[in-house]
Amino acid sequence: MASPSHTRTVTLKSCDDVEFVLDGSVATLSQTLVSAMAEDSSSSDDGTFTWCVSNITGEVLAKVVEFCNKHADISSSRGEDLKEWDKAFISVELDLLYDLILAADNLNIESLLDLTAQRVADEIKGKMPHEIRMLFNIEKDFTDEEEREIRREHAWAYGGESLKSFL
Amino acid sequence: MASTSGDDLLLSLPDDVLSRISSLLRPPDLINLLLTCRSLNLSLSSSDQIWHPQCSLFTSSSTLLQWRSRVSSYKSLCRFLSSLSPLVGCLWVHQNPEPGNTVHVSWGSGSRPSLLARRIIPQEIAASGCGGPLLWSPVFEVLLSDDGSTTDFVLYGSDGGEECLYPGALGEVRRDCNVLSLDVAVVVGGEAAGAGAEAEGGFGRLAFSDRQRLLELVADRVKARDFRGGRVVVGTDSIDPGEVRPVRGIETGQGGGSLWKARFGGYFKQGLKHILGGGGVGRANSGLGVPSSLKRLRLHEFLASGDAIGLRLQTMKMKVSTYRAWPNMHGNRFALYKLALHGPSVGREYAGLWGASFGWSCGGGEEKPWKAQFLLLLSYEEEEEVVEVAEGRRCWLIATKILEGTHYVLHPNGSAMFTVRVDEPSKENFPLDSGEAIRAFDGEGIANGYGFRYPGSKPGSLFVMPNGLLAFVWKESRTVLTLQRLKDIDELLEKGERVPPLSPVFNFAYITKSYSNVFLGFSRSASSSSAQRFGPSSITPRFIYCLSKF
Repeated sequence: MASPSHTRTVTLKSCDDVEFVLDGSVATLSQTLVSAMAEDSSSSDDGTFTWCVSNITGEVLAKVVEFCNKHADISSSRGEDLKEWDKAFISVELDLLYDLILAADNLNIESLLDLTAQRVADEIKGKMPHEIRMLFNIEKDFTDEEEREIRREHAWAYGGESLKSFL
Repeated sequence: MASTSGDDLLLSLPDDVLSRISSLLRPPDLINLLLTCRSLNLSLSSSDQIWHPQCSLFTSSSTLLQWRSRVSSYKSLCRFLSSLSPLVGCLWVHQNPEPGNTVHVSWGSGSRPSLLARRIIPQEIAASGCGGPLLWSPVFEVLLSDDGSTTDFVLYGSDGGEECLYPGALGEVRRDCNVLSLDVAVVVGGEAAGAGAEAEGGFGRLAFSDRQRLLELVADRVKARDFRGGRVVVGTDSIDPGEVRPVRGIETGQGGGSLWKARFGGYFKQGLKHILGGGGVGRANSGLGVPSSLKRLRLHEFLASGDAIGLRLQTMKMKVSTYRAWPNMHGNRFALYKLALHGPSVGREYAGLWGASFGWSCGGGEEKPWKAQFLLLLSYEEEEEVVEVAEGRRCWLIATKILEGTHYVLHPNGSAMFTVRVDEPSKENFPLDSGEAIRAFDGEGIANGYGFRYPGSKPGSLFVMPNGLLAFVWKESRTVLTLQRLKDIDELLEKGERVPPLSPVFNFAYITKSYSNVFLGFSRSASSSSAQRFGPSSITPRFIYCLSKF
């Protein structure tokens, strides 16, 4: 049985057969890898562990590995610097953002899930429904009447009509 | 192979990721998101996973778990919490009685979702010191109705020494409200008329004496030992003119709005006018040339404007000026005024609510009987410097007294116990043997002045002690006022003992002047332990002397 502490390296393999070698301590950012390593008894004696990520391409996995390396490096991952780095890291096209979310979800990397979710939330904040539709290419399938009804039902959320009691 | 398009990003996200994203959004954005398409509406609109985090912004998980069983979804609970949140966590005050009328509003702790307003009554310091449990008395409660779509409102009060509930309604809650006003609303065709007390046909245009009698009369009619919810109104036609204390005309239940009208004849309305008197009659036409919305309204006109009347709590945004953080109030309004509470921030480390008492060491060690507890609001005020030399701004720290636990009050409610300049540190040393201050500021402390209403001031300094206490020391007398920060007032009230309320209208806003602790004066059923902590609430001979002198 191998555990992250004495597994020195982890090899990640993308769906298009690109391989990335991570330090064991970097791999602990992924809960999926931690569990897999804990369960795995076939780990080779030299302390390496190989994991195939079935639905993630090499291009996306490279970004994930870059993120993990940065966040596992204790000397550099402090406060404001790391925030700035994260901000630059997550300034990507929506297509890549989507793939990063799926990868973070698949590998269960908490900090990357937080960062990607925040980016999506920031995109949505302050936008009207039609703007959100345009951004994420969502087709409107409500009738105007239905939309009005939903608006009316949720008027309280906009701070308009509050819950009150009647005499 | 992963999708190479972000086109369907939102629609194809795993549920846990979608709820993670939504937990980062506030309700308006969340609603905008679910308005985009059917699929998102379906996954967001009633999912507890989505709405639980929204509810957690308002109250603790244990409370939410308890309340969830009473509502259909976390979303409907969120609606309740979000609608009433403008009232929560604030202190609401009135000038009278002078020892302090401080009402704290928080979420209730019962099994039914509610908002509870509790009055922190003037009191002695608890055995455990300034940060100990606080005695309180209930003022009003707003409960979520069983169907989750409306609220029930009850005013707390007592009648002949017995506690009663006085059901009414809560008007629309304004996000920016700064005044809570109790009024009598006229019901027209099942809806309460008048959006505000100032509105046309409103209660606010009645003469003060009419308003007072009307409130008392309606309160008496709606009085109940037990209240399970629903509408409670008094039909204007339903009052028997033959009796001094007329029969009750209470209608409860959803469909009650029009029943009474069929049962009673219109001539009863005359009776009500008679009982309530024509206080406003003589003055009604005096406002010649005044806009009709400002003209005094006569009682019979008020009553004739609708079918029924009932108690109502209104939240209003009014122009309220303040002096040293204390609101300037109207003497004839049944209202509580919001006290702006700001916590500590950079450069304003001491802002917030503090407990205080005279003497050094706040309740710890030396046990003195009859030690009055003070509640002080510390706030900052900046002054623009108008001199050529760029000295910067003067900044003052002001300690506004909002509660005083003495038997008879020494200084008016809202007085500044001390003001010190915080932009200039003092070189004074802490004058008492025990302890050394880490910072000190010079200023003035309250002192006897020209009568009760106009206190004077004498020099003194505020010392910041290493253990977080503050001590204001009057230079000449070396009297010490020790302050301890009250971090969680909710918790202090939760631990504290409940004392019975006053009669209902007084219990909301005690507009009659009083200089002694009225909140325990009426409570015959108050436990002996708390009664002992206060002693008699009657005016002492020394106090009468004070009154006659000024």
